[in-house]
Amino acid sequence: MNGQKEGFRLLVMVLTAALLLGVAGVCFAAEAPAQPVRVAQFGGEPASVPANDVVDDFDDFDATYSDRPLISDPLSGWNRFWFQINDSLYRGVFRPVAEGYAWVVPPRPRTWVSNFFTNLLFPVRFINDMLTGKWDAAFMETSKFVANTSFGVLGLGDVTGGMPKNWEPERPTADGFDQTLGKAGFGPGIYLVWPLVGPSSIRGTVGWVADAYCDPLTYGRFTFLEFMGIRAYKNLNDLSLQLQGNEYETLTDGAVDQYAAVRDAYIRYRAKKVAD
Amino acid sequence: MVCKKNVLAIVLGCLLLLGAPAAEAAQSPSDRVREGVDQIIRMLSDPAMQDPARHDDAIARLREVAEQYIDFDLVTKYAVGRPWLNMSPDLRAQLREAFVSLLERSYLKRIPAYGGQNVEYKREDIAGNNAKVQTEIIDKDKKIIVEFRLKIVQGTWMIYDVVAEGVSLVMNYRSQFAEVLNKGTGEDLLKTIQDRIEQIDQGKEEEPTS
Repeated sequence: MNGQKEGFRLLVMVLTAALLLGVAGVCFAAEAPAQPVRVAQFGGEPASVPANDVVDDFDDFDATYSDRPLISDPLSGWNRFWFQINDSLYRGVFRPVAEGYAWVVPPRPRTWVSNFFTNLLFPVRFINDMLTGKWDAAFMETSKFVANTSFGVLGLGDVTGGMPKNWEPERPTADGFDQTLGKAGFGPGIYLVWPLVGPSSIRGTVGWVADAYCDPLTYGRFTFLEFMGIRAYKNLNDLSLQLQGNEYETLTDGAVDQYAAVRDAYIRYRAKKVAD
Repeated sequence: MVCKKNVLAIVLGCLLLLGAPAAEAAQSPSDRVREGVDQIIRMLSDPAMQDPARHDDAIARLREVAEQYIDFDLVTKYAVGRPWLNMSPDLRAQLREAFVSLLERSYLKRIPAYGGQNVEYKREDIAGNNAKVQTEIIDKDKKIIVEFRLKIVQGTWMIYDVVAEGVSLVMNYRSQFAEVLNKGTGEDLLKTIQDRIEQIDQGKEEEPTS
């Protein structure tokens, strides 16, 4: 009986995986027409005729970034528009609100909230660890989930935080289905910026939707507004813990073209995650 | 017998001569990075550096140290990309100065926020004149993988790029500069950078007009 149950569970898991990959396949097909407009490295660098007074070692230099990803940005008009809106919202609304929230609520409860949501997203990490064969990471995530849910009081505390080094998996734990798709050989497709959500790609969007299916919150009996409220609160809380020296601000403050800077950083960071 | 000794002497002499350039860059890439990082951390742990009143002085001193370990000529050249080859030496110098000022205003100013972190040296790959040094920076519960890229410049390993979690500083700027250089000239790029510096100095955080 027990073995049957196990077998059934495995079957469900395999079917889920197949289904998710099937969805990805469809999206990949949808992405195919975008191929002809693909341009190398964000529209390509301007060509030039080399002069003689400086060593032209750009080929050598570029070769050391052979992993450098290509992405086309045919929707740059739409993307730039939403990037501007998102950036204004971030600087004009989200950041000030997070600052106010951080001023009212001490760091410890905010860390508990953050831990709670991290713990809740355990299925996303676990499933993708399994799909990408990161068995040790999957094991670590499971033990963490069990320990934090019980001893950590529903994940509020992170009782496993200070665990010794051997707790760390060989490769970093999976962070979502986008990574899994990338490992399966799917390219990012085209660059996309979504309202409120921010930088993404075709693959990133598929991954995001798949991750939502593994997020217990989406199975709660919430109305749309309640759900958005919870999501917004989670993001606000996360931001309140990263007000100092956060990557987005460091990147955009020093940029001469903030849109291009964020696009490059997003694509390279995701490529790095896929390579992990 | 004498002849044999002479041959031996010549061979040894040749070996020494051949060995000389290698001996010049005696310090390994990792040691170079470690020395630079340690020096910066030591400077930052000095309370005088955190004093807002002496902020500009602190930045100037940090830059002085940074120049010893980072080759900003290479940083600027690679960030600009191939159009660099057609630029006049004068324009190149101006671009370098503007770019360093921009980095100083954005990244150097943020270094104080990164004090007290643990840096672990993980790996070193050397291929001819190029080297990669991989480090892990551990900050509270977060682990950031940072790779330094170095080249031998006049016998010393110099840093020319920093790759944090797969995001290369040089390549990130190249993608931005390409947006300007695709439509305009090197002078336009210089102007764009200078405008951005002015904006930062005036304390504006809005998007640069692009």
